[in-house]
Amino acid sequence: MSGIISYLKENKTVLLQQQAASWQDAVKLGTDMLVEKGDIEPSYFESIIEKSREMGLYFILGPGMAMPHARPEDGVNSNSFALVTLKDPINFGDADNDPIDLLVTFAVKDAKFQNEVAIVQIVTLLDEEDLVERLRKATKWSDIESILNDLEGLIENE
Amino acid sequence: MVEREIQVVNPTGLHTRPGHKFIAEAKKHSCDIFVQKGDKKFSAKSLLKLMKIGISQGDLIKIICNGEGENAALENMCEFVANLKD
Repeated sequence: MSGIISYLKENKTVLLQQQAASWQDAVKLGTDMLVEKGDIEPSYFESIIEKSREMGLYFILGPGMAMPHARPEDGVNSNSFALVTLKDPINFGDADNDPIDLLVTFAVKDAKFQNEVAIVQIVTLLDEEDLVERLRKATKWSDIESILNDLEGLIENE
Repeated sequence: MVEREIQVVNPTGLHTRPGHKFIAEAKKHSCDIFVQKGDKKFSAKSLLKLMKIGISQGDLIKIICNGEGENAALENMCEFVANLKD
């Protein structure tokens, strides 16, 4: 099963230093790339927005960091990941963690892969201060490639 | 220090939505609280750390409380996990 490193290297679903008018637009930058690849349906984005309305901003992980995702049954064709950084951070409405400038989107086919591989890999990345700092400053693909290479040594299940 | 092993029963495991609630619950207690699965043991008060463990339905996890009010905290956290429905 391929995880975030091999997926991003193969598909380059990465947008750096973007601008977004709203938090919904910021989330859509990530999901649009996966729709384009055919890995998710457009309904996946709608599900994220709808769930946030119902349950609050469940996908905010920490200061400046979001991990937009819905559920396997919300229109996932295959396991996929996308990375978006924002030039100007945006307020999502989570006082503890706003403003957000780092979004790691994922879509997975099953809950076990989600909990034990996808999320674990993403938070391993986001818990490494050095990698997060480099991610925020990244302007080109080679910056991301070098971060992914360094992440490779930190995760088990790739 | 007190600890107890408990099985995660809710279908989606301790991912982000239940995870957020779990962290909020843990933060109500002043003692240190840890969650352990296998050889991975992290603070129950950080969402990033908790997510690093990777907890699914059916997993046995150990909740460890250490410090002021540890017994009440352990009861509370175990009850919280047992009552997860999502």
